[in-house]
Amino acid sequence: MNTSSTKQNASLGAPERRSDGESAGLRANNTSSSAPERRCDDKSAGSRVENTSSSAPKRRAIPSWFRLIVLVLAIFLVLVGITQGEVLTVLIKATHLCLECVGIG
Amino acid sequence: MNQQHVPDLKEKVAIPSEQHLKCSAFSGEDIRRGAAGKADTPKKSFEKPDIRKGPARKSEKKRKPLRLRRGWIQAVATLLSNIHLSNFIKGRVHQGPLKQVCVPGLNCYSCPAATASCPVGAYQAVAGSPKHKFSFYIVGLLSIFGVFMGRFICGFLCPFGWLQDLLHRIPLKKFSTKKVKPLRYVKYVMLFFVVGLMPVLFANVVGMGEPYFCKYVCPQGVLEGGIPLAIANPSIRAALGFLFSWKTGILVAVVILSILFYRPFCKWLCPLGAFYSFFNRVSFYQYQVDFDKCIDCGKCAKVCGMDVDIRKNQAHPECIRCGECEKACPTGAISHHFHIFKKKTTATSHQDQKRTT
Repeated sequence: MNTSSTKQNASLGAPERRSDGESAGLRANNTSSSAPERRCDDKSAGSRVENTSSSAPKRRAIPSWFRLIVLVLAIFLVLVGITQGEVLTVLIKATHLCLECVGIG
Repeated sequence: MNQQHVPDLKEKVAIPSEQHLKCSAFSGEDIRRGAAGKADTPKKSFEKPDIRKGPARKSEKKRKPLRLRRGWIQAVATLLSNIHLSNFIKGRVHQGPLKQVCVPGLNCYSCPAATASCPVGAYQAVAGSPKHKFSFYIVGLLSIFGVFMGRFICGFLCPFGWLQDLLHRIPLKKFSTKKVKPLRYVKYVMLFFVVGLMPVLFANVVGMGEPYFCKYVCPQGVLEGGIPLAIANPSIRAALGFLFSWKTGILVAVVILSILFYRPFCKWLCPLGAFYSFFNRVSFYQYQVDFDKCIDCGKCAKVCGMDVDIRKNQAHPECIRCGECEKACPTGAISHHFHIFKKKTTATSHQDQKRTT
């Protein structure tokens, strides 16, 4: 009786505990009914994350501008390398048999 | 009482309305299956709902091709890195303008079929030349690869990584590398000392340094270069000596270890993997865990061959973005994305999110 009633509750999207794997699985499937609540949680979680205490080691997300700066820096390095003639060194080494690499020495 | 409940459920399952399909805690597929002919056994679907067929199904469909075709992507990447296959018969190295650039993965430029340069060899060639002591060009190129993909390159594009993956599929007993985690720092020694410093510090009187990593450590040179060239070219075969035996020994060791452990070379020795590991956090290609969906089953950590728990750190330096965790996740909580301009969520670890609630 108890089990059948809980299953019915689950099918109707009633909140359930995550104590066992089955209910956790049900929770995972049950998105449509509880989606608005989750969205709300997400927002509040986001704001809470920003207010974490300083003692907690937190990993800040890398902002996209930082990535772009790294990319620009990388392109700059390539250009510096080209102007210094590194490309020719690479080409000469790569087009001839590297005796060290193949194990001749 | 029980008997009164079950027929009600049967009715719901047999004739699903749109409303019911939207609101039900079970997946639409389970209900449709019941309606299609298994309506007399609806109890089964209610007792053990298949959590893999949940709402994650849609997104799973989208992601399926990449991770399922990883082996094929690796094969294509290896082929593209070594496109001049006819040179294997000719027994000579390809000489083309593309060798000015390097491939993102570990692929020896002395391989007869090599399309482009090996990044590690190219760096050492520049750093060991009398004119230069540091290769801006190679570091810049690798940084571009790293910013876009991070260690996705190790998981999908590296020919030597693919070889290790194939070897690991040989059905023999497998061992975990969790107890030897400190060995992963050896690859940073390889990167900074053997690849970066040794060609500069141990240069000869003319100022030329040797490519020490390629000469004494890299098994890829023997596999792709030494062995095929020795087979095809008698003069090269005649010149082989102790160094070839030493490197062949390393190659054999790596092959045996790859059968027993998952990617030992990538974990412990590869300087390229060490370099890309710095870009796992900054790369545009990122993994993400939806902690609302996560049920803490730990399957992701269990299947990870690189000993990474993605719940703790989604941009772990050891993560090669192979997608096994994504595949193993029963709720579809793990996903990947490639964003150039979009910001990530603030919290990146499970612990961070737990602390805040």
